[in-house]
Amino acid sequence: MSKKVILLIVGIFLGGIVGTSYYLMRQLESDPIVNGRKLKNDRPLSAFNLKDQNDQSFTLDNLKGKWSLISFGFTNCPDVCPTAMASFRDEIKLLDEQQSEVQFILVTVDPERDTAPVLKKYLEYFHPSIVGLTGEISEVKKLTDMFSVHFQKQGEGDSYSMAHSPQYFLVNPDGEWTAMYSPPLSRGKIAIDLSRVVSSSLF
Amino acid sequence: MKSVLLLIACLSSTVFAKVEVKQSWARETPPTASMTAVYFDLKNQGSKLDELLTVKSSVGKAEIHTMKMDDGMAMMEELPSLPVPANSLVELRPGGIHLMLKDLNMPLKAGQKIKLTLTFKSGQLLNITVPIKAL
Repeated sequence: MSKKVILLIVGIFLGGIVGTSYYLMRQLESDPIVNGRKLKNDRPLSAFNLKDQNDQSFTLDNLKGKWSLISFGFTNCPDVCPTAMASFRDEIKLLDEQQSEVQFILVTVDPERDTAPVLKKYLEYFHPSIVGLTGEISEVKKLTDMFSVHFQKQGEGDSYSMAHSPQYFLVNPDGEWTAMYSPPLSRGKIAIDLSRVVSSSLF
Repeated sequence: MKSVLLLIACLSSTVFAKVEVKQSWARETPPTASMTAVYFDLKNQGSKLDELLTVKSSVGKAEIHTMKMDDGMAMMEELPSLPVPANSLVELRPGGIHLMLKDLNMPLKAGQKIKLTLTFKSGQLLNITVPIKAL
């Protein structure tokens, strides 16, 4: 092989590296949230006291140190909630090794029926790493109020339903609400954003 | 003779059936859930409006529901019936109109099939077999 050809190959190779790095730098400079609605100013969350599906206490401190995507729902829900949980499962799988930087959370708005063991069984079915939160209704309300989430019982008897806001809320590792997502979102949209926020907060 | 008539009756009900059901599926029930949703397309190839009135199933109670937004909340609303306009397609989809199957007498697992009977205002009866999917 002539020297010229080798030089040409090395040149193309270096050019590729420079170009890709430039592209990546530009990507990192731009806002990582492209598929959700970013809040003008991050809003610090205040204290709450809930427990997870393993009966372990879960407070504001547990929202610190990693990114969190929080949704509200209930397990006896035929359409909206399983769609949301199936989507969480898909996004977790897409995030692959980055998933340890993000926690996906379902807060029940029906703590009366959704006890820790019920949440555990329900979430294991979708993805065991999804965190399920339950507790006193007054503590659930603290969290829903912070995100202006509304919920309301519909119907009577054992088969009542819960109307609730369907959005997902993104909380940064400082425990501040930073963006929100309105489902339905096509597969991968959340993973793209989360992957970008996680990478940008590492630099 | 009787069987010929029966055959004609069967044929006519398929050939002249104006509303068809396509792409049906029901969501596998997560453990702890005693309800699920069924989705499909209703295609009315006739020149008259028809209306889905009731759905019956041996596995549970079926209701026609839609998801509506009220005061920022996603709310399930039971529909008394579901109009299917002439020459059009009505889609039942996650996050929209769906059949809610409640008080299920058994968990529904992916790979199984359930049978539903749909009754329309025109008098048309449709028996459909719906696959259970884990999505």
